[in-house]
Amino acid sequence: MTNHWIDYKNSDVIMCIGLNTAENHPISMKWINRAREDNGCTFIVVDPRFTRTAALADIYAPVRPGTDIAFIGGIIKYVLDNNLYNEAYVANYTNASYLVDPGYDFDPDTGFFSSWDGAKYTKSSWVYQKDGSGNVIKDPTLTDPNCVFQLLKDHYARYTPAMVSTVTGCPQDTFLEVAQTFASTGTVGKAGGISYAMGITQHTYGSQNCRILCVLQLLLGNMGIPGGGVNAQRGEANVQGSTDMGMLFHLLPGYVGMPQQGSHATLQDYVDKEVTPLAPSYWMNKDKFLISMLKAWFGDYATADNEFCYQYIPKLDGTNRSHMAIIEKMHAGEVKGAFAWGQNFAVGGPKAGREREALDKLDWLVAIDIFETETAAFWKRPGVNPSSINTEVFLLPAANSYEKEGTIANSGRWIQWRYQAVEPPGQAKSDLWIADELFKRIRGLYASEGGAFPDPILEMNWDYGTGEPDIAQVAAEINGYDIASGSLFTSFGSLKNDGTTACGCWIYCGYYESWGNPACKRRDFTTDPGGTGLFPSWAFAWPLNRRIIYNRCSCDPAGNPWNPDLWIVRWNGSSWETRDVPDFGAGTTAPSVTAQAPFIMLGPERQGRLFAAGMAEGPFPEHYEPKESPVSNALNNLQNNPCLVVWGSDFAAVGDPNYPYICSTYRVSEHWQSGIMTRNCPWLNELMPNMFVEISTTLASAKCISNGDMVEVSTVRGAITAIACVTNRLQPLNGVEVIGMPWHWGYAGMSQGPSANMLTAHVGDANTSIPEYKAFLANIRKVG
Amino acid sequence: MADEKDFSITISRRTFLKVTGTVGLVSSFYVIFGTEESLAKKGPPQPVPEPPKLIWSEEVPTICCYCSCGCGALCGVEDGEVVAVVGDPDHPINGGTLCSKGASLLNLRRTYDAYRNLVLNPERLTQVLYRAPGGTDWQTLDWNTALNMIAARVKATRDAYFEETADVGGSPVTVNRTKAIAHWGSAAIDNEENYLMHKLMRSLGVINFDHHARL
Amino acid sequence: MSKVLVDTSKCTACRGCQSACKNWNQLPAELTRFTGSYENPPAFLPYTWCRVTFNEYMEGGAVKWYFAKLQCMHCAEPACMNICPEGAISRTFLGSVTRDWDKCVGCGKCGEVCPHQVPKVSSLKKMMKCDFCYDRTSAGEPPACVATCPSGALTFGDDTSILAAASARASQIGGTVYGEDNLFVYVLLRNKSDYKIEPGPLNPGSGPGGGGPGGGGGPKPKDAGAQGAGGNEDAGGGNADEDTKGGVKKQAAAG
Repeated sequence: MTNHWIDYKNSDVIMCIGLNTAENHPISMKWINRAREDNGCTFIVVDPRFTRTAALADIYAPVRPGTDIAFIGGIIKYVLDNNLYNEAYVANYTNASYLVDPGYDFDPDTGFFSSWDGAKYTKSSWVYQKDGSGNVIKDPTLTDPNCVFQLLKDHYARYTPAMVSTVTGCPQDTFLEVAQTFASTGTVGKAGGISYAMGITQHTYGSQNCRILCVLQLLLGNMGIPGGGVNAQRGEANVQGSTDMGMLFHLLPGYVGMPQQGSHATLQDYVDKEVTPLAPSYWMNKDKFLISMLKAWFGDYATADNEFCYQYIPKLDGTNRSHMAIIEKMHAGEVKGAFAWGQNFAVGGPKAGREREALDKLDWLVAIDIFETETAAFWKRPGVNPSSINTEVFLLPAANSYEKEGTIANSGRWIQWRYQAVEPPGQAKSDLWIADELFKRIRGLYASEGGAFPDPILEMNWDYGTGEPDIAQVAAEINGYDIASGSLFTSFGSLKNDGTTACGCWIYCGYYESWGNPACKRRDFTTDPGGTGLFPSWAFAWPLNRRIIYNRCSCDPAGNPWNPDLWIVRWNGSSWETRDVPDFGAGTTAPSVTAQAPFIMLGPERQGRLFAAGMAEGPFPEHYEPKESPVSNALNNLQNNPCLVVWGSDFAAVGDPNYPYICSTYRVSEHWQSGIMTRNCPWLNELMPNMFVEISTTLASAKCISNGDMVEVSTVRGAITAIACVTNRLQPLNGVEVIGMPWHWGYAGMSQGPSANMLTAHVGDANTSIPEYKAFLANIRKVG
Repeated sequence: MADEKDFSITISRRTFLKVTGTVGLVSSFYVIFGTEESLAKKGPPQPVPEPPKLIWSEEVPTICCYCSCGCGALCGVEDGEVVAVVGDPDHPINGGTLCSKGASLLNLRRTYDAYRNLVLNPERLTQVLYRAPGGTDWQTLDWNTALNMIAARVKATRDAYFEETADVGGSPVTVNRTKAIAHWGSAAIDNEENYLMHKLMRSLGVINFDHHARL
Repeated sequence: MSKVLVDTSKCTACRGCQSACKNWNQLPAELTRFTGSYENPPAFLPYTWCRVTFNEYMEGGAVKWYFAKLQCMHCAEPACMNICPEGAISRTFLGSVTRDWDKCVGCGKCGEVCPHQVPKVSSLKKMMKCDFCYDRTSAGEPPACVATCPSGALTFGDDTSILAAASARASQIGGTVYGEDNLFVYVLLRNKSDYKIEPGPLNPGSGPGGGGPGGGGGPKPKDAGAQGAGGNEDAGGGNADEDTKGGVKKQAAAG
């Protein structure tokens, strides 16, 4: 989230798209209802299903799964055609004025952008025009046909209301009502917020779905302001924090990229390729973050002479090692042993049947959880003979969230401390203890026996005491400290690239800045400057306790708040007054200077990117169909994202009569993720006891299915049987029926049922490899 | 070492407890039904229409472990055991409210049996479980044995499949990695824990490394 | 006197109230089954004193979904109290309707006459229902359901302010007020029956609901999908979503 939960109360219009907030983030409705009551906020819900969120919407717009780019692209066209954008914002805070290489083009006849080499985009034409000194050429009038603004206009000219309706199935008048309502927030002083979740991201073009929300918000001047923003409502309590900790193959903590063998052989190579080119954005300091992390990890062993132990970090081999890729490599026998730490992909992973089979190929699996998971119990899944599976499995009992202490980060980036209320039951232990013990024992083996390149293990800075590790030591290491004095940092501005500072995760600098009363434990619920809802003295928000990021954009270039009644930073004529932590050089730096770099992390432009060359499949989001779709792409002649990642060939073709319906998966209020932490809760099972499948009354009637019947849903990849829920909350969209199903069930725990992911596929987003859970083709029939 | 009690300095007392205190009901309210200790005193569970009133003497702040709203909750603790988990009224985000999942946080540890006794959730894992190759059921292990076995397997796999260098365009590049171990971290556990897991795995050279954020 | 405002127009059916009621009142789960509606359980049970109804209707060609949190209304004229042959049901100083288990013999007459079908008799032959969280409300604190409600649908306050708020909200959204004389006062957008409010007494000839210790905490019924305390023989049954076949109903006809 660029903003945070309480900030929803500041919105004039809220649009939830690809997000069922009332069901999956129920507390958000406290603030959305507050905005509706206090500000007369209009609440828009865009969703294929009429959900519990839609039940409270002022405007509900149904859309076919996977057509969000068409829908938002249509709003962008509406905003541009009717001059409803915030002109000063667009001209000053975005790259609208930048001139792009004349060779750049998009051809709807082929569906390709320029610079396609037959296998990928070389992006050679996706560049800005530069003058002789290397400076980007700009047209502040935004009229040059090669400027980003005109290219944007041109790109979305095809996204007419009629086209939007054709592609999405949303009635034109409903679409126009949404467009008009949301575009009204382009008026200076109005705030429109967009919230999204996995309905946006879990597509083969999920990143572009997110991108197009950003483009719309930049046009309307909604980024960086209270009540605005693009708010990713994350699915798990600490998925923000675990991502901050870099728990992804391509990341180190703090979003510092992992070294690649092809381009980062040495630390100097890394700096030359990943740091220097990002100047003058704040990422120009990335070497300080990386070297400080290496100092935190390898202590005195890390010196300038040995590249601060840079070579102790493994290098990626250039292949995809995201979730689906790992499973496929496991299937192929490359992976021998695995840790599944609080993770249950035997239910939550796509194409779950194949994921379960992959576990059969392992020599050993270590699962750590509070309940038995389907992943740990894969060898006793239905339909297999355990004695034929030779994987050795360890299932370690973990402490639950109130049986240990530590921090988690919510969607608004608030890092909050959780205290230990009780000891874990029986022999259960905290994950911290398990990780500590494992490392110590592995190091012990290497110390006594030697082995393959033991140096990173033997020289790792790892001393958190005996027994339960001292979590304060871990937190202090993440926070960062001056090596000579040991004093804890309050800001990553203190980090250096000379080996004198240590910091495990630079963006967490300041969260544990004091041994006695660290910021993440603060509980001041009364301080709320101006009633803005920032609560700056409650816990800590990264970065630097900033609650709304890009907050320079909350003021016009002269430093006057767009909405003077709801200001978070403002120029008083001689200096900046701040309620939030400014993300620009505040103090007495003139507004004309700070207005040049309102997006400090976006290097090198430091401006909001309407045109983004960093994306794999195009600098502007373009509509493609899901990998499996019943219809042809109406917006261009290319059916699918040409850059999507895919494994296998088990897909239904366009118009396959055997799989005529779109299927989409989702969650319900009463369960969570793969269900391990809810299907073992009797109170929740009472509320939502069984797996079910939602279909429209029209589909039910065509298939002779009555409410409560058992039905089989099948795809090319598998079939499951569940209880039918026949409802008017699903409607055919332009004649296409949609089948909906939650994905919470599996074969372990108190409440058991079929897994929706037996039906999904190994195909994912071009930029992130996130699986396309949200749209695939299926059939349905009544059984029994 | 973090002071376990340091929240009590800043946490405000619940109005409810204040009120019950002023009307002199504290002693009768401080009776807990269903702890293992009280059950032992009572003998076998007996059907009763109503347990004694629910009350606790200590409130420990936590943050809900389900969605990412970050709602505050209070664990009501009595005699070293959680007896209820309720919304934290001081929390700026949720102001004491909780949804169906948040209001069921107690169930992650304890459930009510049919006699309205509060018992350990019978599904909780309380022992290290091990399943041998070809095994048809779990068996139990002690921690020491299990951790040593795991460490040995990690080392054997790493040593057998470790790559110190790779050929890049005809030149060797130091890579120090193993492709034979995979690791999934977790969005359900704490930052500090994920951080240690990250250090542990990268020190081993693990590059098959992912988690919920991708799913 | 205190009352609770149930503003159904703000309810998101997260059902925090259903869980919070269990949490505060120390109630085991009941065994349920998905029968074609999110609403579960579809009736009050000995150990389920609070439940949310899910009500789907077509209005002008568009689907609408209405939710209402139900529990004992703590009626101004409690039929249960009047019929109880043992004098086990009485009114507290709060106005709430309570039961004395020392006197209750579990005859179930209260459950037969209650227009809201609230009282249920457990296997221990005791009537079970919402007691307005007497321990909380007698100390001036809101009932557990109100305290947990995230969306602002539930408000606890003195009767004057609750009735004023109900009336103001009803005129703001074009709704009606139901139950001014009860402790739970509702703002509705449709007829009360469309929310399954006040369904009328059960057939006086029918016996009390079942109830009793079951499998909770013990061996688990895997096939049934949930651990339950048993005692919910009357929980099964038909589709709780009425009128799913369409048909436009007039909004807020009672206004």
